[in-house]
Amino acid sequence: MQTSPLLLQTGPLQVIRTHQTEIWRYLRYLGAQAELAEDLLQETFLVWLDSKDTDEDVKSMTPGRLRAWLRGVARNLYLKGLRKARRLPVLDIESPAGQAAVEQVWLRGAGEDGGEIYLSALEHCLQKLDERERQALHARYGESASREHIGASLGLGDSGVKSLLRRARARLRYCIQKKVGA
Amino acid sequence: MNPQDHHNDAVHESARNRAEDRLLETSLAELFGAESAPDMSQEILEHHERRQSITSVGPVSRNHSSQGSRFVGLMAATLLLSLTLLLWLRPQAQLQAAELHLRILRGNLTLRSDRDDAGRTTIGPGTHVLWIRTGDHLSTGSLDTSFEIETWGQMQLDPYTTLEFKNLETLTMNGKTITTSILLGVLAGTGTWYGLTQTVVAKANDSITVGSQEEKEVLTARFEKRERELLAENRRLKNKILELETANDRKEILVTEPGKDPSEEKPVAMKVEAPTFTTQEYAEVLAEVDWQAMGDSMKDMLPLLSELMEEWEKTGKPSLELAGKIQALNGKLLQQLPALTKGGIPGSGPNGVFTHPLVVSNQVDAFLKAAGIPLNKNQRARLAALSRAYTTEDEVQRLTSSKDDLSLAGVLAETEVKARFYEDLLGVLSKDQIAKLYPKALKGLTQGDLFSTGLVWAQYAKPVRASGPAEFRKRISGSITSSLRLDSAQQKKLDGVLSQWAREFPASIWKNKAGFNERNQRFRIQDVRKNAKRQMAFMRKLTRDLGLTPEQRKRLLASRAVFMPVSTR
Repeated sequence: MQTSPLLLQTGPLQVIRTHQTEIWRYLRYLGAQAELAEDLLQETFLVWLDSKDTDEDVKSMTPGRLRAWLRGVARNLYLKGLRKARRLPVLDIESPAGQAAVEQVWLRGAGEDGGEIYLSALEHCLQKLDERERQALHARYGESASREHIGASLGLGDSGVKSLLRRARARLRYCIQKKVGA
Repeated sequence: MNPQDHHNDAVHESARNRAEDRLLETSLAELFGAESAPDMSQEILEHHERRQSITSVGPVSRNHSSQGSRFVGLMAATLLLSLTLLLWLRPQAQLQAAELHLRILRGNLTLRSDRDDAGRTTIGPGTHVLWIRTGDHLSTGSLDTSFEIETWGQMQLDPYTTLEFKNLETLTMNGKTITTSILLGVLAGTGTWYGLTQTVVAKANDSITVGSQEEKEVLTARFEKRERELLAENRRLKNKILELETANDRKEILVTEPGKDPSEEKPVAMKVEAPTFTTQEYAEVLAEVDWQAMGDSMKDMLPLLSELMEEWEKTGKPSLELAGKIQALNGKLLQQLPALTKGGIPGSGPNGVFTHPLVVSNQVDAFLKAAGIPLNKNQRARLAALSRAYTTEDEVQRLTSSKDDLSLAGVLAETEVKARFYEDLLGVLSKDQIAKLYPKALKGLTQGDLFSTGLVWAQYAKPVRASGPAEFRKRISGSITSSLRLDSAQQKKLDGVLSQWAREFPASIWKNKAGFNERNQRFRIQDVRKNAKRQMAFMRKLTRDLGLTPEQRKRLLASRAVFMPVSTR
């Protein structure tokens, strides 16, 4: 949360700056690769720029509603692209039940401030893990290292790395849940 | 529970688990620096402008009050001129619709469109702004009619003449559509076109081109010359005003004895007696602002901000109730912004407008009135002198800054002038007034100190979370590579320049985890300023060493983000 982004929520540039990080994170969360997320982020705001002066609903939106609207546009653009490429989404965002669950997790975890509190909680929770768990997570998510590579540096087999990572993620999820209720 | 409900629950549960994992995984990737959210704001707006230039929407016809000759108006409007010239240098796009400025000198014209929503509009003598589309018709009745089209020339039409807009060429930039060429077909009657370089008499089945290449060249040369003259004249006059006003105002400020509480002083003879702070140029704009609402909101907002921060630091969570109240007050401030921006108060971003010396002086006046410790007459007079002097200084700074330099350099120059203004403002205020305007918990912070350049920097300070210098470099490299779309060879060069630049940051910042304020995007103003200066040298080196394409260079010059390291150690 930004405490006093005084006057930041005004003018197209400021609106984009205020919401772009959340929309990019949301797209990554839905399953878009980083590059695709950038393209879709751009498309999402272009839709907003085209509608903001002509669509009465969009014109009168509160910042909260605007965020939800932008997420909706981003999700639809992502889905449209997947359908065109005949690919399945990473998360179940096509069935109503699945879509509800995906939205619920986002709103509880990152929805309130676009993910800043979640990241702070994650940072805090990482400190509570064992050094090996931290190393494994860093290698996996920071350097995209393979399980084989991680195993070699930690002296573990493939299944050992798999369960180490699974355990570390579970501990993080539990810790974050306690901190932010996600 | 029926089987369908059971199935839905299972789907929900499985989707929830997968979503929680996904949220965790993408957050880990971001936290470990493998990727970071890009700042695409400029790019999006530029893309939108480019798209706007090939699509256009607008009302059918809008009548504006007469403002005299468009010829004269345009000759004086240097900004618009430079925009027009720029547009002529760019490839032209063919459009279906365009805004057209007509000044009817005699008779009247009827605009007819076959579109469903249009119909007929008849206009008489005076200046009119019309939204024209190809296929629209313009006709005269029983009267001889003559009119001017924009800057192009005059048209004389016989009675019962009908013209058709066969083709329109326009370009849109920064929301302004400029017509660059019009092809008019004569369907009936006779029309005579008196252009800059040609006179054409056209009868039925003939056509007239308004805005030929030759005419554009003549106008371009004329406008370029006039623009250069106006700019030179402007610069000379502004410098003279600055010289005179600064010397005079500084002399007046020194009337007060040093060390004495200014609020206790008896009023001294001052040049400025006006109770509000204004200049002739901005008098109308400033009169439109509800200063009482602004003063009340800021006075109520400051203690809430202090409370929010203290509680947040204590509990680790921001109070949503307090944040909501602050946002509501912020909303009231925002309501005053359009009048200021539309009125042309300059500044970098909305907060740049909000921190303009004239605006700040009026805010301080209104705030202190609301707080029950108003400025006395002497203080008002001194602040009036200060606001005038710094308004001029700010203008001169803008006029003398180079358009080809980094946009960040402009922000820095603007904040340097404003920082001096805020410093001098302290000399005008009493201790009680200073304590009210500058609560301890917020002083010197980018997103808390409302009476400082922190508001300007808050728009551009970009936190970069990293556990050490290597991760810091990696994140910035990723961010720059992505925003400038560098190729691998350029990225390699970037990493070299980046390593050198990153070494300039003191190692001590990585020793401990960043403090509460930095973790929450509130930085010390002096740190942002220092980093902005360092970063400018770094960015200039990038423009020299990276072999950037013109588009990449443009993006780099436009960037105003100041990277702020936030240690996650």
